[in-house]
Amino acid sequence: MIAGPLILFIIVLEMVRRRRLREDYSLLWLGTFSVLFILSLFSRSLLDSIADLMGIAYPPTALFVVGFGLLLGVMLQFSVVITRLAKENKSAAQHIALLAARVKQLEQMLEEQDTK
Amino acid sequence: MVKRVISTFDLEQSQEAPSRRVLVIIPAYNEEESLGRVIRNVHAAEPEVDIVVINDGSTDATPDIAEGYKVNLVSLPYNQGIGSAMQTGFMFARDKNYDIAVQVDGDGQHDPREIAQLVEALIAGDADIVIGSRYIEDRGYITPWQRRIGIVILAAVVSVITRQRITDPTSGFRAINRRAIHFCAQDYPFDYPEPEAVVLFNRANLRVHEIPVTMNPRYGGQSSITPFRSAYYMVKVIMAIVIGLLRKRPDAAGEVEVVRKTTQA
Repeated sequence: MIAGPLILFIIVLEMVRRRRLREDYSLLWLGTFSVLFILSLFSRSLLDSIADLMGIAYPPTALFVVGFGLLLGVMLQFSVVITRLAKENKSAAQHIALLAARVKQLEQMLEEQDTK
Repeated sequence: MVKRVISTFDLEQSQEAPSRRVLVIIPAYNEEESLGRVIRNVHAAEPEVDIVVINDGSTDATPDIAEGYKVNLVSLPYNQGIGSAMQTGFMFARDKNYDIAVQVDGDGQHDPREIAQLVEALIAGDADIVIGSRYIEDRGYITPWQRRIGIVILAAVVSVITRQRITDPTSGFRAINRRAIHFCAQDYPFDYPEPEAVVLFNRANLRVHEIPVTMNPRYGGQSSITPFRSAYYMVKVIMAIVIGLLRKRPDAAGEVEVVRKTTQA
């Protein structure tokens, strides 16, 4: 329970170091693993009282609930990022199409000039 | 090659000006069966106007057919949907400084002989957008009942929001003026954009006007609308419209807008 988040934390750090993951997208992951790590480290005091607060009889379940909530946050961030990428992608494709049409028109005009 | 660019464009005054530059935008996705006929019909009805075909990532011979005619061809690198294709057309119209843009679908449902009526209604000066409606007058256009229900509901929603009677919010047969061209090039809804665009126009204080038109059954190809899709689009469009109402009002930059602001101040 304690080793899991720690290992994942290190893996994410390593991916950032190798530039396979951007810093800004890694932050939510690192935050998630940190929270899970802290909760499992102080399972007696912290986790138990959180479980108590949430009305959960079996404390490890609280860990899952908290982890699940954090994962939802990460996934929501993905949707936001995908939406932005789709918007940028659309705009890029539109500009490429318009520019390609202009290049073609210019080429045709040049050809006409050459043949004259 | 160089065309005259009209810089001083005044809707109210220039009734006599015949030199307005009109662009017909034909969005086409896999319309090889009908596109040639649509282009010939537009040329026959309106020899003076320019045409731009927006090839929306077709996988068939659509771009080759367009190449065979005296038209501008803009090919999107992959299929993006009608909204993005139309926005590309409006960007083209804006960049080339056209005064009026008319959307004519590539499937042959719109009759190019009615382009003149749309443009005339636009020039008459009481509208920034003129929509050709199938339902103002009964001209024998038969809509499958499932789709009719969808259109009636959308028409009701759009009419209530815009406080104006809109009978055919899904019609893509439209003429828009320079102000609306700039607005649409800037921001145009995706997927199934027509009803949402009507609400956006209204919120941007662009004036929408409907006139009756006759629509044909499509020449060929497949309609993209299946019953499941129409249901999905209905929900998506209504949600988009309602959420759109919660956004800040869009601004259609232009002289009229500026005048309105200064008189309020």
